[in-house]
Amino acid sequence: MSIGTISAGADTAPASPAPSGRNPRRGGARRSGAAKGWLFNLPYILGFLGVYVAPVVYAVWQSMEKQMRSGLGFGAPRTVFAGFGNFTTVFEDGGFWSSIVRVILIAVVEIPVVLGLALIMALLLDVVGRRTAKYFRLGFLVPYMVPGVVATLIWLYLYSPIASPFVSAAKHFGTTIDFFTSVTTYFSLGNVLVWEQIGFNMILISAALQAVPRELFEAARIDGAGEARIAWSVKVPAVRPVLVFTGMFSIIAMLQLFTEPIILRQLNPGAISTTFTPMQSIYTSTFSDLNYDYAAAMSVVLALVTGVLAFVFYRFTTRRAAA
Amino acid sequence: MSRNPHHPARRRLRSALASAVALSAAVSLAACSSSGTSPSAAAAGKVTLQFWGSANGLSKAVAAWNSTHPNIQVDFTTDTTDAAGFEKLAAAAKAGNAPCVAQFDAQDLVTFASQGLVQDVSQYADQYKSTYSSSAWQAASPGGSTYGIPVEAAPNFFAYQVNLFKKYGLTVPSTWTQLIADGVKLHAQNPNLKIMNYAPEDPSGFVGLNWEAGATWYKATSNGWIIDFTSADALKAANVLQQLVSDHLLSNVSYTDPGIWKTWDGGTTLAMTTSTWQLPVYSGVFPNSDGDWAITTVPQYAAGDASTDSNFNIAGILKGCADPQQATEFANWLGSDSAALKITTDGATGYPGWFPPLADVSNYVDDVVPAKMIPQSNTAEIVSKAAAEVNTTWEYGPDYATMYNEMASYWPKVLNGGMTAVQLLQTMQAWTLNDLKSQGINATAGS
Repeated sequence: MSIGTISAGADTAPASPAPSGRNPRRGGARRSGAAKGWLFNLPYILGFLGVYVAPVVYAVWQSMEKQMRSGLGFGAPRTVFAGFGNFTTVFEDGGFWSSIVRVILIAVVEIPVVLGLALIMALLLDVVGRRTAKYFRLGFLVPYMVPGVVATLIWLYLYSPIASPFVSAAKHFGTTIDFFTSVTTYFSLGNVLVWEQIGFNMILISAALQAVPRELFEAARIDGAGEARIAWSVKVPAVRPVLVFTGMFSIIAMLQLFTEPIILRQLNPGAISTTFTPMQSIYTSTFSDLNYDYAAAMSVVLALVTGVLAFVFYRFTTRRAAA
Repeated sequence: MSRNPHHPARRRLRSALASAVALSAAVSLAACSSSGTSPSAAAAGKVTLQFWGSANGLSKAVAAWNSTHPNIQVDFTTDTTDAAGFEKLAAAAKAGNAPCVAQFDAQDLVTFASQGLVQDVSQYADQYKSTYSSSAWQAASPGGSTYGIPVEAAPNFFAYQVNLFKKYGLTVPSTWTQLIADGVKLHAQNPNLKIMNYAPEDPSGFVGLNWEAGATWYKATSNGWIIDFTSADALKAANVLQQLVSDHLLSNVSYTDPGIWKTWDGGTTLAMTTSTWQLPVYSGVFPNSDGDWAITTVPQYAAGDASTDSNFNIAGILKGCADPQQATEFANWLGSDSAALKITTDGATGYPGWFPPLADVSNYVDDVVPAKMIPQSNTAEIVSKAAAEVNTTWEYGPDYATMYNEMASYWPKVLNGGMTAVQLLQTMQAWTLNDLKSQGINATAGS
């Protein structure tokens, strides 16, 4: 899962019709304009309701249900209302909470690394010539353009104890590399995530930098600032909103971490369990245990945790900006 | 995902063989095909049954059936028995698009039964009972109701590398005590040498130890389940596992590691418990040790005991099948008819390790063991013996898959000594009782 896509669908509000003296019924024109606007938005609204709102409502509903069985437990179960019973179980589910703590810890290390590197790269691109910047920008974006599954498979072969060129190189020098010890697992996974995400974040920061009025740099230069000082005191504050924004999306993406661990798990199922991340717990509960109700409850809890963390992050970072 | 954990023994090699690419395709959730149960055309006297299966040779067997049974036509779809196959079938059954008949593992049968996704076909199936081994029939009849017909058995026996056993002065173990003594002797000569391999994602070896010991974690009674992870027999199994772990006698290579074959073939791990269906796989991936292997019955808890464990494949009859009687008839043909078995057990048309779950296996034991890998003369006798000695005490309970996932989550800890085997059993005892009770199922502790 890479950093989220930015919805461009929401801001397609209809432009009001040009005022025209020839049309005495401007109100009617506006109404028909509004109707057209709604009509243009209809596909988006239908999609949003059908594939987003409806499943969320159903998941919340399902999270309060429970399958009851009788006798030996074979035969079709009865669905009963469980109230908050599933949630009580989720709160007591140590494996689920440790998976949440695990992804938060990964996020605490990985997100600053990604944003820091992306910022440095964007700042460097900002001072080189336009043509050079164009090529580098495209090159850095390639890992982001590769689908997450494919990107992870590329790394899977690089980490494989059998196929990895790193492992055989290490063997050549008489040492061994294990990419999946209790510690290196996190670096191996984090490395894939950084590789995938850095280009996208760099592009956003780079675009924000280009929107900064060049006069500011000139003024700073006249005041005697060098390039490093300009970068730190002028450019970084200017792209701060973008950093907050990408940081928030990174937190959300990290709590939903799924593709990379589930694929890397093939190399070492002992190091990456089926409940390594919260999304994997939900997946296992759904498709392996067929416990849809419990999976729905975990999903609701994960959504709430994600929402709270994103909110706290946003408040924290914007308040500091205001201060 | 990989069964994702309920990755039982039989899935492990298959997933090891599947390439990373194939597995990643599974990740993309290309489930939910629309092929479903055909509406009953009983009025016309002719029915068409949908059948999903994974084994080689099933499509040829289906063609043979269709040519001799014009009124019960079978429409075959190739499926997989890995996690993706399970998920696909479960999703289809849940959505009401399930085939009439599907081949899956006995562990999956209880999961499907606990969801009401399979039909009780006891009334049509009971007549066939005596054809099959009692352990196989029991696997198709969790809780006493029959939901399908057994179509394959995979009884466990013991395989070891003859020259290496000689080289390190080991005795072919007839008991677990002897196996542990061998392991200790081996470890003393070189700590890198191991007697067996237990993969960190796969507690099925421990399941086998319990099964063979005569334990059953679940026991169906008229008053509900007796849950007994800590019976005297289960503790015997825990004791063996604990010694294997504490004395560092096991290698712990994952079945998803493409290098796992070198564990044995490179001569560092000397033996394994294995079964019929696995041998054709091994015979293709042991270039160095090919021909150096021998098999014998699994080590016993006491000299003179005769017990082993087995996996089973079931042709289950799914919910919504409009023609359960015809479906059961077809499943029985697949599991026991000599015409069907000739196709499914023959390496040229089917899968060479496909072994029938029959009471009398004498016609099918001669070629089941690859002679090139294991050039020993009495393999047929050992396989027949294993098939006959599968312990019939073992039962699967309704939440077995979830329980197995839970157990698998502790398994790496047990293998690295962070949790004892007894603690694992105690944990699972409490977990299972709680899980069953929370679903409204009667369950009491056995000990």
